[in-house]
Amino acid sequence: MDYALQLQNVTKSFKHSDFLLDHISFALPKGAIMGFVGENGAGKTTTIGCIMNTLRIDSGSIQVLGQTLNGQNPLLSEQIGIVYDGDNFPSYLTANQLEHILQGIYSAWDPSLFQKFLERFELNRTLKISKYSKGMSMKLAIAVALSHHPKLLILDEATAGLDPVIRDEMLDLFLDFIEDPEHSILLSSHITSDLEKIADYITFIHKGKIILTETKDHLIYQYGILRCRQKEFEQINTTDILAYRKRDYQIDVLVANRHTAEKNYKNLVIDPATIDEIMLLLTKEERI
Amino acid sequence: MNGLLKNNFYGMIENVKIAIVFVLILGITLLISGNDTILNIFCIISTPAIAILSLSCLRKESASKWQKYKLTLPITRNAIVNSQYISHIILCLTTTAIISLFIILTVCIHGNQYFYYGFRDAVTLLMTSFVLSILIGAISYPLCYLWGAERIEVITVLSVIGAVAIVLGLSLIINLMFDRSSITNTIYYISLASILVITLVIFILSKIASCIIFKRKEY
Repeated sequence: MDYALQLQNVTKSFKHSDFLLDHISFALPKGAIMGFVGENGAGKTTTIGCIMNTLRIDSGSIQVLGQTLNGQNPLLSEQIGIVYDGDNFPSYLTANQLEHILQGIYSAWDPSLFQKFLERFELNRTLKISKYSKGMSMKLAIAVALSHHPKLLILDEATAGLDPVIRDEMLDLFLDFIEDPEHSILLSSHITSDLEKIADYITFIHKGKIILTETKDHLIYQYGILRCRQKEFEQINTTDILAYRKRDYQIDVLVANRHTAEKNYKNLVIDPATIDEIMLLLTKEERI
Repeated sequence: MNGLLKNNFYGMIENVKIAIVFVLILGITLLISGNDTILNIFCIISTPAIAILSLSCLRKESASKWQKYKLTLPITRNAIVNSQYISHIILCLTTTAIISLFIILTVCIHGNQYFYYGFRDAVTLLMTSFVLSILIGAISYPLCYLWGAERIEVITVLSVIGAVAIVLGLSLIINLMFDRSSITNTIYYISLASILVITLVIFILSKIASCIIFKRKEY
């Protein structure tokens, strides 16, 4: 399988912080969308910083489109589009000025494609970015990220803070982008419903460690949540339990194979697991 | 590089446009009045003031994620630093050229009542202004990369003090080296050229320091 992005045992520590990115490994196949999920401070932005080389890794290796991104190979950077949460560009610029700047930087900058995006998103070229709403700024950032024909799109909480209508519009755009089998997306997000809609793979990060990386379909169709009481919980084979969470009189138990669990624990209620529930259960400390 | 220079140009223009208007008003006032005090202030203050104001675009950039974003573009970190220094020198040269134009026009309109030693004095005045503004940049940029653009006010004050101290120091050394009464035009121009060369060397060293600092910087 060809990969757009491969991280192997990546570690990153900080001088004045206890936070550690601890031997991060995952791979994003070409032609796929990976949802990168984790709570605030889990290490999503740090991981993206390491991938984009804005942060230097302590050890491990990162391969982007089969090459190492080390700041010395501009041709590789040409093939990556990035969107950060919040203000990506100086507020005093207009979309017009931004295009002039980026036209002088990206050899593959496509003015007609940029114009198409501006029209599609109804963005005024001559208006200063400071006058844009958050949704408009994010649309501009996505337009910029796509207008130089990247092969890999990296979005760091890019849909956070956007209303559902704009988010849906963005998700459609990502699906259009991914129609090309050479294109891939790494989408870091809190909003798991978005990932359920478009992601092919989901990677969970928690306290600087990857706790699960799996295809979305596998998570949705195989994973399940057993709803039980203390007595029933004690009868469950510990090897079946991935994580559990006590809630008043009920215990939710995450299992990796819902269908096997259905056979083994016939008297228990088993629900399919949503990405949200899996994240909640995995990020709780109560694990076997 | 072309895109980076445009980026710096847009940032600088945004910050210096009010100063440019002020310089033009002062220049026109000088042309009309022919006042020698205005001429001195106009010559000495204008270029360094515009250089200082242009620095504040770094702060505006740092308020967004643009600094971090630039690192993801297909350009090297050295290119980012180089573009900053090139833009600074272009801005200083342009401002000096505009100031020179106003001086020439003022002398043409009002006659040379300003420069006792003629051309030599005019060059000294313009060069002092140019050297100060170059030194302000040379001190500011490495500090900005080191401490962050959020501390631009402190950095600006330090750079102005540093630039003035360097110019005064160099002038003092030259004065000590030569007997003031025996300074010929040739010695005088050699002294000016020496100050200019030393300034440019400082500017180049500053660029090297900025490249080293920025290479280690994480965002």
